[in-house]
Amino acid sequence: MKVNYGTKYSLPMLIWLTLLFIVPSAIIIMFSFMEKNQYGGVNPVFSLQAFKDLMNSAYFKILLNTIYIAVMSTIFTLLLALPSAYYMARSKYKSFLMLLIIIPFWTNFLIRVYAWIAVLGNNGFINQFLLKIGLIKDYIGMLYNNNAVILVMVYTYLPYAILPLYAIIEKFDFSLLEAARDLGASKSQSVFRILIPNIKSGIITSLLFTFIPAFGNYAIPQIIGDKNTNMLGTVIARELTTGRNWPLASAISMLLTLVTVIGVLVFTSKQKNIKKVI
Amino acid sequence: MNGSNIKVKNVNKIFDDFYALNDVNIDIKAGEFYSLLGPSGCGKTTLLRMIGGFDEPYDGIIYLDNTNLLELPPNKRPVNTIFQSYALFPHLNVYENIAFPLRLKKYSEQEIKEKVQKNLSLVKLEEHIYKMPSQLSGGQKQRIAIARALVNQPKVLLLDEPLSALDAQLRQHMLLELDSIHDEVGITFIFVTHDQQEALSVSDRIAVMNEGRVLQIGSPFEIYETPADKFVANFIGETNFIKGKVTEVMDKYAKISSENVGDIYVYLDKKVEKGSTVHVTVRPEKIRITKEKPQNLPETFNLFRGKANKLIYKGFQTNFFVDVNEKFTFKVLKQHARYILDEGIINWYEDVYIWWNVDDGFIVEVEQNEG
Repeated sequence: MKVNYGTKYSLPMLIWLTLLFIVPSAIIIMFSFMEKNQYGGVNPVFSLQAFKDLMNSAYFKILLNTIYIAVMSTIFTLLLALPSAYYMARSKYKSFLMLLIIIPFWTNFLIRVYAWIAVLGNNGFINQFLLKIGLIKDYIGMLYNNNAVILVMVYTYLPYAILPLYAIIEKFDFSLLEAARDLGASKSQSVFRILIPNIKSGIITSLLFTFIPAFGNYAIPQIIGDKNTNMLGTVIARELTTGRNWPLASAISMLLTLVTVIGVLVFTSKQKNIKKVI
Repeated sequence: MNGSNIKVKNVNKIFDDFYALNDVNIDIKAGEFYSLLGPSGCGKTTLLRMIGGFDEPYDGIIYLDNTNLLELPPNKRPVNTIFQSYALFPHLNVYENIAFPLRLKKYSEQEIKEKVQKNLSLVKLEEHIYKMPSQLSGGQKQRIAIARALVNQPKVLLLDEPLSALDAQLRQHMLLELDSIHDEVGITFIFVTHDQQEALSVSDRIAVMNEGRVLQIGSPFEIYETPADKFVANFIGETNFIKGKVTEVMDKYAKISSENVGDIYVYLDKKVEKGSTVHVTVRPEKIRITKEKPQNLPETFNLFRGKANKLIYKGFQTNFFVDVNEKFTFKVLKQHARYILDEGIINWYEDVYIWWNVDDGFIVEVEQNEG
């Protein structure tokens, strides 16, 4: 008799996902349709108040700003990750370069974010250096704006973007580029027509690895960003704590998840098309 | 003539501490099927990559007709390459692979279609036009690579060990096909191989290379029958080398005394002096083998009595290893046409006579300053 072990063996995974992913998500959905409790938490009464609050144009602006920061961070990360991964894959010192990529992970993420204050702040390296050589007379305010957030996002997610790209470029057959050149392609044509299409799945993985955490980020905009034009992640935290509006925080969370899911679906549906072609 | 000539002049290539190419001079005629033959690491692929534009010489010039090829980037050279790994683009189907160079040149869709179909029919793979490279067999990939390389109508086609990944039977078949494609398109083919059989069977001329040098250039017949030195004689086909001292020089022949074999006479095709040490080569198929003492011998011959101590039956022929004086083993080939019926089979350890015409043995190398 043929025994189907699939269900049996996948049971622990099923329990794991149910407890740690589906149940919390369900709770968030439930909370978003309830009344807020004056002292935090929710009253178990059905209400659409949270979604009415969400229609406020202020939140729409924050959503747009979040998308802007996430998209810009993703673009810059990828622009840096592609050449870095290419160079790493072709270098003689692959394992050494890999070590350099991994070293930042040995330090706590928050400490690394705070370290940027020591670099960009008014008393940071850059300002102090420029003042000392007399290039500027007063501090340049480099922190607490969108650009600083994007910079630190790029710094944080660059390794996550490089690794999948490196993995796929390392497997790429570079004689294909010679073949393309041989057949009349210029250097850039050979990269865009041959290299990029063949490493597309790695590019999409890198995009997701950057976009998803950037979009839902809380710590970086909280520490580095402008208090007025925040990201959705910081707004959720604010509503949960000082705002004492759990239903609204839950509704914003749902919005965030929704946008992320749509983004992922768009990317992965493209990936399926590529697999069909390959 | 659709092809171009290629002139390689005084080309050197130095890697760290050795010459990958050492003063290479090659003159390839338009429309020729020209082979670069040599063991791996002899520089043949480096030379091919230079013509293709993927490697640069340390010094020297490579001309195509009258233009200096080295001044052009690979995509501007009227030269196309068939890579050892075929290098088909895995994300494009057969049609798009062949259309790739045409799309770069911005041909119209109609022109592209016509050219792709024409080249696919040249390699007889019309029915696979929409397959992906991963769905093709090795031989089919090879043919698509040929069709793709020819669609640009290059003046010269470079083939980098194109058959090495195929099995023996398919290799033979593709070789004949390459030959007929060469006849059909009429362009210059430069064929890099380490397989002497491949080179001999299709080339108009062959350049034999070793350790970055060109040792001999000639037709397959010249290379095989009159190898320039010991390396060439050994690399192309099998042969017997006999080392000995020249004891007598006549006007057409020389007498050589070998410690192992005894006295032999050889055809004199280069100047030697009495007393110098030389290496003589005799091809195994030039040596006859008989059980009885041979009758009707030519005027000049070398005859030895020996023992057939080992033999390898190959169906169409037998390879004999005949020990002479218990010191030297001659390799002898015997074709089976008539032999078994007329003479009876020679068995292991049987005493035999071997002999060859003096004209079939000659000196390949003279050792310098011996004694």
